[in-house]
Amino acid sequence: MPNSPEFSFANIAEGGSGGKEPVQLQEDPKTELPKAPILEDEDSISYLGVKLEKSHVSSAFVPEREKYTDYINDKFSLELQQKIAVSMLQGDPILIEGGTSIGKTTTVRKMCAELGYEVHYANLNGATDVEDLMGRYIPNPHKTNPEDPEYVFADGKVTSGLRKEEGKKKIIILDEFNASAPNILIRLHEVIDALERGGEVVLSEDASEVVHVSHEDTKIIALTNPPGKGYFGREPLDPAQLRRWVYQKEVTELPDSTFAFSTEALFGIGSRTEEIPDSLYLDSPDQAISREQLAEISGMKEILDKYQEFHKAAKELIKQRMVAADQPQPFTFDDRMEPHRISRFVARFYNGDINETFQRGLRYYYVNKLENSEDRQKLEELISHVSCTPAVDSRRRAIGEPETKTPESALKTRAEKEIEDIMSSSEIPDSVKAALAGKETPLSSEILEQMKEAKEIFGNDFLGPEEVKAAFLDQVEISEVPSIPFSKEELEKARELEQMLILRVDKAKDGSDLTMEKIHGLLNGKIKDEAKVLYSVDWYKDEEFYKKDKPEVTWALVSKEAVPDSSDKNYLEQTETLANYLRNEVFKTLIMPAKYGEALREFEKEKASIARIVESDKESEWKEAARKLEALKLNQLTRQSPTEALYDLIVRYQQTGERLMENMYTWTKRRDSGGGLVCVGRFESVGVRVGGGRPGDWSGILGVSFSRSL
Amino acid sequence: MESKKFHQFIKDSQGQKELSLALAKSDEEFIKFHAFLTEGGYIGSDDIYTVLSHLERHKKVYLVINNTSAKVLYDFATQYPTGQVNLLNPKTMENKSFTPDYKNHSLILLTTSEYLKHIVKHDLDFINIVGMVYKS
Repeated sequence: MPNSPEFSFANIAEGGSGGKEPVQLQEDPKTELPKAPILEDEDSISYLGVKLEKSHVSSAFVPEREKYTDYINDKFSLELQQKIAVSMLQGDPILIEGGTSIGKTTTVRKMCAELGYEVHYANLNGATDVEDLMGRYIPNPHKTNPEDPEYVFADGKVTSGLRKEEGKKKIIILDEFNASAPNILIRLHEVIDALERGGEVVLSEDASEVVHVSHEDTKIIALTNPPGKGYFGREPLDPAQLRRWVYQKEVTELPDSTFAFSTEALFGIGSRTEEIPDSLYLDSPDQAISREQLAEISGMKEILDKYQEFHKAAKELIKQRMVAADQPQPFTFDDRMEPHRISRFVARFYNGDINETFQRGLRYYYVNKLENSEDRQKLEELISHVSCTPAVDSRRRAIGEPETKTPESALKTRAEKEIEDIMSSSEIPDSVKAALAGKETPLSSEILEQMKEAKEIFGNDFLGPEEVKAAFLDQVEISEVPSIPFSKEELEKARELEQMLILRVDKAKDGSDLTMEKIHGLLNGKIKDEAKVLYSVDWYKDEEFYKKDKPEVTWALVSKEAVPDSSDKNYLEQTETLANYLRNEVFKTLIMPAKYGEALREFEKEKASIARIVESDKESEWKEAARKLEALKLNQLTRQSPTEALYDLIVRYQQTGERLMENMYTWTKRRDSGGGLVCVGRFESVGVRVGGGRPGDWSGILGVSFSRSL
Repeated sequence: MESKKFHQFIKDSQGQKELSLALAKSDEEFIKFHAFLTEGGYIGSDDIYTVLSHLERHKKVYLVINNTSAKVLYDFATQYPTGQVNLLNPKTMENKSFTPDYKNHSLILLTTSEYLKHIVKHDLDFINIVGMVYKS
């Protein structure tokens, strides 16, 4: 439905549904692994994936952390914290409207206690004096001699929050914002505008003193109760003023499920932190991507076109009161502010999947302005159409976009099917079949260009179709060369890390799978110097990894030798080494695709339980450890299978005559039938050796090669 | 009888995470409540800024809501359950941050029902922000 040609944004406000199918708001949590909703280390805390840096400067204005030990992290509270965290990270002033009992102020203070941020609180209910907020002259309390000034300027609540102080982060809470006097609102909006610009606040209250302000150091959070609905004196805010804020509409009363969860937690029944499905997490890479990188994301133009249509349609829904009709606080979707915010959101939270990131941004800035679920659903339905089909450009997909079936690849599949039909038909002459079988798919100019560039970067370490064909003595079938799924920067980084780029194929020329057995059969004694491919195959000749496993058709970046510091370690410790290698080397200066982020989180979650059994002598325990280790996404993404390890060693040897891993095994991602983990290596003249071991084993000649294909 | 009930209210107010509110139905009862609170070891004031500087020593305090104190006490009562209270004294412009000690402090707001009705009209709805309420 999302990309159905019948859909039109323009029909929405005219009553056209644009698709009546209900939109799935969340994925089934049962299919996902739970993560830690609040993840803390020495220098940062992540709130449902949104990471904020801590301040370590102590101050009387930082709330005390022990006051929040009974805080219940139910789903509602966690999502609220995530929203606040996003605004803090983005430097957006946020205005949260919700009932008194939902814990707005407590939540902000609790986060500040954890983060070490100062709180500067002002309740605007009944406040009429701008000077209470911005400061005023008072008799000098420190006057001790006649030269001292009679009067000195004293900061107000807001001014003290605005002043920059080394290492400090300050949160200004403006409570009961909509109960404020108009003159105060006007002054506060001047402050917000200055913060937005990262400029200066001129204190007219203090002889035009200039205070330099920055939304990096000061964040403003306004809290309001809903206008009307039993709240005295709460007039709606002017929508023209509201546009300055990221307006987040919260519930008037806690949802029943939240109420039940938190009540039970308070009485010690169940956990104090609710499990949250992965789909609600929002990962924030350490750095936002640049405007240039944004522009390079595949499908960006298409998604922007859809976004523009979406924005107009969403505005129309508001205008015609087809959504938010029961919300007393009027608002609109601002033509300037919303695109600006969305672009910064995508730059900050881009996780490699542009559709997902863009849609999350739209939920944050558009859907979150709505209270009732039907209204939210209407907007969700529109959002589902804001997507693109990434072009066949896996160099850009390389920065993490999921592979989407394109019309082109669908056509290719259909063509393959037709060829299969022809080949199996008895009515087609053999000469035609032979012609078809011998026909090679021409490489697109784009892929040729990619290969040319990669070859320039890698030199002899570029092992493309020509090299693979030569390595296998023309005994492999290369019917299709996929595009290279890595950006130029990734390739250059890989080169720097002593990796090679290799094309893996999965079929021999006779159409059979390119298993270890097949590779051995095809090349044993025929490779350079008539060397052997495999040393004795006796112990594993009937193993599945030998007889059935084949490489995945893909380009892979593979370390030529074992990852530094990966030997003398058990399999779990090696996995930790791989995790660190990913974080600190491979993606140190690059955007990490979301799948690696997921894999790292899964590893962090699982490693303690695996550590308890990995070195156990009990067969059931070490086998369970091996099973868990094999299943870890991190190992599946970064280790070779035994077949791939053999394939890579042989192709490289054929190309350069150099035996990689001559004195070292790499521990692969496959188990043997006895439950041990297979290792491959020690590629000497007698051939490549294959071994197996318990996950708790370690040796100076047992390391791990790094391999990735996304 | 009333004394017993009020003393029970005082006792129950200890260790609460919110301020309690004693509502006198008349000026006479207001004076009586003053006396009960004093008997119970409470010190009273309508000046929260003074009280703040003595809370270290005096754990039991009652705060009188009147025309001069209503707004600041409302701010105080709103923030008290949130784990931290920031108050700025507009006379001295001194900005203070206070951390409640829920286990040991007992803070009770005191006013009359009539005055409460009056200040609700000025958007200071204490009933919504306090915890326990005593009304004879």
